[in-house]
Amino acid sequence: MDETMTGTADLRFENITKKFGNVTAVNDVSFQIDHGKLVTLLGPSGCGKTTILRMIAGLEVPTSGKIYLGGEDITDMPPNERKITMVFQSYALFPHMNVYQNISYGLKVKKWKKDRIQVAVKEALDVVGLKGLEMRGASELSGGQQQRVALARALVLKPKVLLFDEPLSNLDAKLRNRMRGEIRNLQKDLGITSVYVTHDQSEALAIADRIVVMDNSIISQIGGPVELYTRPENNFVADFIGEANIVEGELLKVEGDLALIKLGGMQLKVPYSSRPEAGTPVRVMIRPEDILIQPEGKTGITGKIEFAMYQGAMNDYTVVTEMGELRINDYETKGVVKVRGTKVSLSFREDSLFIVH
Amino acid sequence: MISSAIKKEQFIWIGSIVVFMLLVVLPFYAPLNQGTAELLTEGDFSGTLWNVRYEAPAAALLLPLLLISAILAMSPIRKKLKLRLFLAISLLGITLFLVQVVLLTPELKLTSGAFILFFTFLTLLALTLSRMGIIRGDSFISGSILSISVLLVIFILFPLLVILVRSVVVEGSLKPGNFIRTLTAYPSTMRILKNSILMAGTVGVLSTIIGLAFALVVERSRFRLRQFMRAFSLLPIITPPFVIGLAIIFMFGRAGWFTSGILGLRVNFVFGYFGIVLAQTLSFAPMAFLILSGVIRSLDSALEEASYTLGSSRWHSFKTIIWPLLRPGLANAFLLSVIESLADFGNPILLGGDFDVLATSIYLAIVGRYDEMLAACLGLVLLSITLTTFIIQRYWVGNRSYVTVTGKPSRNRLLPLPKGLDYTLVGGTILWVVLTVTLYGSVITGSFVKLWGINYEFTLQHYKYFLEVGLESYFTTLKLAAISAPITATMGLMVAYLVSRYTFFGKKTFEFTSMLSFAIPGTIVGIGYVMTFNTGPLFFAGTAMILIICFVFRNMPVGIRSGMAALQQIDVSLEEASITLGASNFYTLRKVVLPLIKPAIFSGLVFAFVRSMTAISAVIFLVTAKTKLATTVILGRIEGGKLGIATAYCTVLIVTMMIAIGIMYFFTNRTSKQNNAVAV
Repeated sequence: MDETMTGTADLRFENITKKFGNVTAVNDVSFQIDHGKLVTLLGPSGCGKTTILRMIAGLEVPTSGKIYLGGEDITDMPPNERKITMVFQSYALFPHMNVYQNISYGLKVKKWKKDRIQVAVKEALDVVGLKGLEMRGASELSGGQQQRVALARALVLKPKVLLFDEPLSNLDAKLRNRMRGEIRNLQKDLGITSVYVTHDQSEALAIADRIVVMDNSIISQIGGPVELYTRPENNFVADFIGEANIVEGELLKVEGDLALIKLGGMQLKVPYSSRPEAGTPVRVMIRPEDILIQPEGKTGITGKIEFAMYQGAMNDYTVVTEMGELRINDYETKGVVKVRGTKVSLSFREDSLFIVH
Repeated sequence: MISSAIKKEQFIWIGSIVVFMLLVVLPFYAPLNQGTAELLTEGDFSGTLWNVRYEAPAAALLLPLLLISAILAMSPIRKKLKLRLFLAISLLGITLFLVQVVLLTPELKLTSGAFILFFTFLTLLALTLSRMGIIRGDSFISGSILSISVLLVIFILFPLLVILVRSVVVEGSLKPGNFIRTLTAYPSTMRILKNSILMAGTVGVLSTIIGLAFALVVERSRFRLRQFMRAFSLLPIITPPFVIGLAIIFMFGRAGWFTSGILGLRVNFVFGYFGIVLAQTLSFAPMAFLILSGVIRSLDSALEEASYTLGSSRWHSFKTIIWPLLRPGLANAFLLSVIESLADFGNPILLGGDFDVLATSIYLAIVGRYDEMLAACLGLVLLSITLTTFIIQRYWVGNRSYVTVTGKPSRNRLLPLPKGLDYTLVGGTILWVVLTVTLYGSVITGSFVKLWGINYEFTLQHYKYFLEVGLESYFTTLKLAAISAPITATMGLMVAYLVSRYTFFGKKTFEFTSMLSFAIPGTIVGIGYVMTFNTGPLFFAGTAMILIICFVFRNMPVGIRSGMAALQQIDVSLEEASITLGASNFYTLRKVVLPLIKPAIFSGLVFAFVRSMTAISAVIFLVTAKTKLATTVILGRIEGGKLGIATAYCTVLIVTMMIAIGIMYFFTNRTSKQNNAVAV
């Protein structure tokens, strides 16, 4: 029997609850990760995302519920029998071993022959772009290199599922961007089912096939990156993913896919997720880049600039209006920043608005 | 998954067969004066299988149980049902064993076969519990937890229980009043209690003050005395008991160099309160120093600076900022010195004179009056005082500490002390160092002169005498210390590992019991062991085994503490990484954890060794003519008035200890350098 962890598989969470003493870290969570996809668990710290990842690895045991891997119930299986490997936030490279010893660790546990291990380690190093660094000590490497070794160590076992626990949080911004792309390409090329925990929404949007947004131990919304950004189901998701203005409006009537709402004196047709009842107040999400800022007197609502900040690619304004404070990202007018106190007219891109609850 | 499950089944099956075969030869019971080895060399091969048929009907049932579990392991029934059956079998087996040993034949001495049988069923229980998920972790973890728990119960809790029972059970019936009656009938009870509290209180205060002075000088003085003064903290570790006592007699006794030689007095004032307090303060101040220097080092200078910039004076800053932060540390140092003082046996027995304290009275009750009842009652009094102090220290003061003593020291610039205070403290500590050096010097000098106080001519006769009468006990001590040290270090490390990395039912109790040894005075362990292991199923009296066991369980807290400190430095995710890469807990411990904490293991090893070499209070009850130990021989010579050879022997021990510590520094520095090479 070949002892490698052959073939990746799909992963299913069924009504998982995890309590630490009286604290419920994960509350009745169910979701499925399809074979070969990368799913990110996204949420603020303490939302339960890391606990979910650790339950997949087997480092924590659910209080109730079942976890299935490729149809097999692995809820009670010890972590070292699961064929699921993990890239840790701190990389967790063994400090007393060199790169070769680190990567070959799991293969040695499986009692592979030396020559086979050599071939496999070389291959893994090639894949992560660290050719020839076998004999380096773990702590003689740069942060990015350590990250790659950790990745190679997890990949070399050909796991059924690969887990990432905020793997890029210790890297500087530029390197983080680069590693993001590399991890994503590698994952797609190898077709490994992956679960990726992060609190960085831009990372989640950039890397994931699907995103599970967690809030306070429950799942807030599951969806693809575009879906979550353009059609967040609730206030929390709208606010957590990207910047969002949430304003109160009144629903006049529903016309097929669109709802006619009254917003600050204007009537707008906007998409919605769950059907609201006519005549009720609704909350509308407006992304800052979907507001058009023009000199006073044009169509739309009027307001006065409270904060004005030059950001290079755009100008970032906060405008006080009758609907409250609105955040506006103006990519149109480059270089010229309107000063504080200027009166302006604001209008919205109708199809970009979305009704949340 | 399937393959490993089969492996476990095979393990039970093969294990049962191996045990069965061992039991054919190894006996269950042995006569009091013989062990397995003697029986086998005499050609008595009637092992447990034959043994139990007539003598142990309940234990005889264990053998069929063993066979059933072997068959069960290979049979193809549902996993859940199988595990339930295993649980029932292992629990039934342990119960039957206890019924046999405790109720049916409490007078017969058990030997190898019985121990193997018991641990077989314990292993089965561990395997079952881990597979049922009741103890998380694999069978290695659950097995370790169960075995160590059993050992803690037998060798720490059970002897205490025996002492308790001994003090309230008279001729087989329960008489709670007996405890009070015995103590009131004994005329010296109140005086002993008063003496003990007076002694411990004084020593606690003095040790704390001197420890604080040293800590301030080392951490905050403008004089560069750091390295020199640090060595001070090592002194009590390399000091056998009696050294300071002997030195005080040499300097301040009847024929003392200072009292008689310089002042021309013939006085005995050193025997009693004064002598004990001086000797104990010299012994325990270094411990107070260690605690307080940790506290002072972790005081953030920024707090003081903030206070000055907010306009408060030095004195006001001290009163409102430093003092409140220092208070828990001072309480800690005081309470631990009190425990050490009450538990100390060597100094009071040597310098006590008429000033009798609890530790020595217990010893004299057994050795002089053969009154086990009185010893048990006095023991309970002593135990309740030290335990209360220990609990106050651990749970009350421990929680109030604002600074972490064990954490990494903050490397901030420390504000020097005010000038006047600095000069006073430096002067005081230098005087204390001079006193210490003089005292140690007098013992070493004393071993090379004919007769201290009378004839200061150089001689090697004491060493010659030592080679004649002391060598055997020296090597016995070396051997037993060398055997017990690795066991102590391993167990201490295991406890530290289990407690810091796993959660399991009863973990708090587990940790508390394993650290309890620190609060149990050696004298009490001694009488507890005598009362427990001199009769019945666990007969160990007179063997080297009982001494090794005693060393292991007395010194375990040392191993636990160094293990804990080292494990705190290691990121748990390293172990988790290893596990997710497919390694077992045991493999992880061996390949990841152990290599990283090598220096701590080694220092635990050396301290366990050194403490075994210098133990006296517990082992004095357990030694026999065959197993004489260095410290008991020294005490014997002192009681016989032969101070010369006693000092020679002490000097040899001090040199031995220094070599051990030296080796430790050599190795830990080397390994840490190796680690650095990797880390650079």
